[in-house]
Amino acid sequence: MGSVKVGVLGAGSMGREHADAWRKLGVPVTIYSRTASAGKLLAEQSGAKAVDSLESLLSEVDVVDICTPTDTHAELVRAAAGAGRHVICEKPLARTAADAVALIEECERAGVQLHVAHVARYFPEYAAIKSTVDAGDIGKPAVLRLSRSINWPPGNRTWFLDNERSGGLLVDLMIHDYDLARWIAGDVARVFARTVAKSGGGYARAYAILTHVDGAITHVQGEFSLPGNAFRSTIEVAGDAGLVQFDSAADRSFELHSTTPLPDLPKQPYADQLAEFLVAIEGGSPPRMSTTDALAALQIALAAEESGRTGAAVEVSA
Amino acid sequence: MKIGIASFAHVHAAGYADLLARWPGVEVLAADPDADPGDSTRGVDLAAQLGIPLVPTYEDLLAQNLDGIVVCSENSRHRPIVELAARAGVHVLCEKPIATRLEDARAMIDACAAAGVALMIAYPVRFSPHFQRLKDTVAAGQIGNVLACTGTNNGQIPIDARAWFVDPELAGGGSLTDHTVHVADLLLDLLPAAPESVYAQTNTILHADRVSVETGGLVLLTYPDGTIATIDCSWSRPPAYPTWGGVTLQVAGDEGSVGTDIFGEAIRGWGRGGELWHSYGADLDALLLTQFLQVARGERAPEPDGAIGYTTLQIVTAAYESVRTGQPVLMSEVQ
Repeated sequence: MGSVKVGVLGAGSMGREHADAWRKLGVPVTIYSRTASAGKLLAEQSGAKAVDSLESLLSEVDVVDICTPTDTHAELVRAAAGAGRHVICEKPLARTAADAVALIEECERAGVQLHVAHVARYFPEYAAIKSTVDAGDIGKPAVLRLSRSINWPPGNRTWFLDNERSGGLLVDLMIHDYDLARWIAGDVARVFARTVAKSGGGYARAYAILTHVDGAITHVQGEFSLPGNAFRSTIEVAGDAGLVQFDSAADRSFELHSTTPLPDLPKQPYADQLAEFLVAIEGGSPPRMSTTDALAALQIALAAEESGRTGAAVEVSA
Repeated sequence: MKIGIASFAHVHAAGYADLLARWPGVEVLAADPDADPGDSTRGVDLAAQLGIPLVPTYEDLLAQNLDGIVVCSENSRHRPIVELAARAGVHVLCEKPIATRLEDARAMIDACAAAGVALMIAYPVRFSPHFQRLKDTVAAGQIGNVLACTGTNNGQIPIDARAWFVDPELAGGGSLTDHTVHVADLLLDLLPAAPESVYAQTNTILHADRVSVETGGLVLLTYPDGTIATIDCSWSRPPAYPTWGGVTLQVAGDEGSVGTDIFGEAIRGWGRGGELWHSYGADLDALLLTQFLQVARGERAPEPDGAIGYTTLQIVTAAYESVRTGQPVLMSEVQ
């Protein structure tokens, strides 16, 4: 992977996922976290180096990989671009569309690349659905169904549960599926969304109905599930020539039942994603996820958030 | 017991006739006056195939001392037949949706009430043992308070069996009319209240080369207590699908979740002729008819009744209005 050095910001679950992926790729990593102990621990566990300031990190890396809460992305992207470093940033790109638009422009002016880590496109099942549709096997997409269910609370990411900071289910979790629906069936014109939650927390579910510019309609379901439930994602695309489906619960490629809890395995799609970004950074072809895509997904997500808040269907701003 | 079948227009009519013809203690006969004389899938030809007597008109049918009548005409033609049946004092099982216009449904309900005859709507899915078990599970508190329901009734387009299903005049609309109501009925049976507001989006991409009615649809229902339910009513199963389609319902509560794939019990495989699908689930039409025969004998009140038929039609009507406006519509705005 050449001599590129990467600096990972944040030592939460995404920091960990990214640090592990970089190690798989053989790329040297420096870590900075505002929680020094977390940064140090992650560095030890992933064979990386921890530093105690953002400035130190910026001075010694070529690429900055931002894995911090959404509402901190804007300032960190600016710091990286300001230091002339290429930027990888976890999704969503920013908390507001205005920030996202500005960050894209600023990175361009600073002459640095910006890649937004919407990893779902790198999961082979979604890539396979996309290529099946693109091959014309099911004709024109008409009705899509996507669902995603993760455990509550997701690891130690308690900022996640603060809707002001994260946008909640409708933004932070379901943005994966808004992007996938757009990737498969084109731009979205309108969103209607609603959320329901257990009083006191512990469970939440949200629905978004998307109406696409080219006529397709999509049902998106997101869930913070009750303790003990496994992660699950599903997708179904009905077109005018056929139907294609995937359900992660039907995947028997590895199945273990044991009283010993399983450690979480690093997921290959994160490595594939970062590798593709690195190819682009080193002068190769652009990745399958562009900043235009990231901005569009964010706009759908923010329309969903507004719809959930106002009770009205919301047009997605172009 | 003597049961009449009014019209062979609906795809289910032959199934009902066949079940009733083999039912101990039941005599069945039919009338299919609107059939094209040359149509071998209806009228004289179908009656002969089924081995049941055919009389020329609905009046003739209702003059046969019937205990009950099963109305299987096109959706927009239910009303006059049900009004005739009410005047003749015959209990009614009416195919879904009850009508295509709320005013027709209201007239049918009033006519049956005035005549003291039962009006039952043909929603067989609620008699599925799996749905009954799901209801019991929820009622027992095993999943806590219900928060959200995800329902689907996806199938192949019914055009080949009966072309009127895609004729807006006769059917009332496309998949939004045809496939919203079964899940809407399940929800009315499961949840304590009717929905308060309806949002729907439809499209016409599927089968656009053959029909102009909507063929894809997504409906989101919001309830007074904050519960949400969605219904996918799309005719999204392609011709190559191994079965006609299915109904699924998943219910999430604050302490658990429960779900059912109503028609999913099947042996699947791959054979000489392509993909195999051999269903081994309960015959829901038989369960429906069992209930109706009890209603016709006066042993039980009809359930689902005309009021349920009305509310499910109200949901569909609100859904079409929502498609028109692009915004959610209150049930109270649609009477």
